[in-house]
Amino acid sequence: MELTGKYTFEADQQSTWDLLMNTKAIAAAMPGVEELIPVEGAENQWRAEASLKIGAIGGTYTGVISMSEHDEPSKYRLTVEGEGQASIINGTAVIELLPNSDDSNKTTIQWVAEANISGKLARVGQRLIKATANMMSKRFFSALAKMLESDSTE
Amino acid sequence: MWPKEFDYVRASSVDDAIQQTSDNTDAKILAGGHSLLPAMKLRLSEPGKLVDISRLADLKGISANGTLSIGAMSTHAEIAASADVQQYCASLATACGMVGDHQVRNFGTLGGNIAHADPASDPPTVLVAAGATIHIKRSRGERSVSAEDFFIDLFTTDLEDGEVITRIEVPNLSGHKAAYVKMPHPASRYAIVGVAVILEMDGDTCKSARVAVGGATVSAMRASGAESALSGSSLDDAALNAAASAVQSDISDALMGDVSYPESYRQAMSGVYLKRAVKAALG
Ligand SMILES: Cc1cc2nc3c(=O)[nH]c(=O)nc-3n(C[C@H](O)[C@H](O)[C@H](O)COP(=O)(O)OP(=O)(O)OC[C@H]3O[C@@H](n4cnc5c(N)ncnc54)[C@H](O)[C@@H]3O)c2cc1C
Repeated sequence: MELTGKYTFEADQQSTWDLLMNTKAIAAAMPGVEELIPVEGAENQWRAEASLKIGAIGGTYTGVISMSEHDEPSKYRLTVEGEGQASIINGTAVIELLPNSDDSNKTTIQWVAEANISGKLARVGQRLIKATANMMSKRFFSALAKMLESDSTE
Repeated sequence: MWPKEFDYVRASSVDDAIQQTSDNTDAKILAGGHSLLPAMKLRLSEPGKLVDISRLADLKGISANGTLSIGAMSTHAEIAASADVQQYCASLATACGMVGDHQVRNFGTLGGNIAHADPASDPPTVLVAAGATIHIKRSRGERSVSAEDFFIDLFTTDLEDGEVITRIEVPNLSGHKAAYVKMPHPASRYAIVGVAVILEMDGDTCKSARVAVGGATVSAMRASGAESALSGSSLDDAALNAAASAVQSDISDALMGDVSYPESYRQAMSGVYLKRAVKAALG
């Protein structure tokens, strides 16, 4: 399943990049995640636990998140391998940071992700998977964007 | 399929239900059980405790007294058959009569349906078009919110833990021409696309229009571009075509889709079903 989307941040490209590389900020922005714990012996890899609740449906997921192919400050790859609720979720996204040509204080993040979900969620939730993934991405990026706003008003 | 073990209590009053769910975030309200129990049997939902509100008289009954007041525990079947609903907001009766099958309509409730906020539900679309108000009770008292503000996103509403929907209030729309039409999923009957229109007519001219879309979008939402295209027109083909293309752009940021019915297909169908809804309303 391919997922695409974009989100515009009110910040220049470098500050947006710094934010996206800040694991504390990422953990706080990821829906249901408390913290990212570095995987020992690996670079740019973290373990995470997420407790997600969407309507009547909810559960705990565990997984490993990694970042690679860094091309500061314009592009990187984010990979997630997780499991929970008798399902396996794998996804990899190329995230691009595009500076706004008219306004250097705006950066558009654009992602193209390939996600694979198997197990129970795929069997019973097929009609909702894509919309749920889109909602989670939107929540993640808008939470990050809020952090930027509160920083600049300090 | 068996759910994980859970405690069950029958609430003695609405306040009791509020207290039992505020004290314990692992507790869930149980109404008709037709969304919650399937999720529990699949173990996609594992609440530790269910607080059953299905026998609370305060949450039952439908009355029409200037506005229509529908208790949250009213079943889809009761609403579809209610003479008061048919008089005040006939398209809500239509929508509830189109929900799932007989079993679902006899158990599923309006309160449970809107609290769950499945994007493919039928009643929310009519409630948004009708300008309904959701009345909510919580430990700090009561509050109310418009249907338009209540539905936020996929399975996401304005409702918070420890709050109970008590009733749904609908204005008297008996003088309006209204309709709800849907493209049902062939297996589940859930809406792939649902459109509700409410038209205020002055002779052959549409004085004002309210349009809402569901199924195709992550939550039921107003389509203001389509409303403008219909308002002031004589609802001729040109106006219907303009409204059909306006509705597609109204919902473009909120579309949802799946492998069988992708976003672009549902978007196109929203235009087709809008035209059908207007024609059905004019009868
Ligand atoms: C096979 C099938 C087909 C269906 N087809 C359709 C369809 O075509 N169209 C459609 O619209 N729906 C459809 N449904 C859903 C149906 O309408 C459900 O009954 C409804 O969504 C949930 O109502 P309920 O009373 O069963 O709620 P429950 O399952 O008991 O509860 C659902 C959720 O709402 C919460 N809740 C319930 N009542 C309240 C309240 N008063 N205050 C606060 N929270 C509350 C619960 O805690 C739970 O999280 C279908 C269901 C099934 C099983």
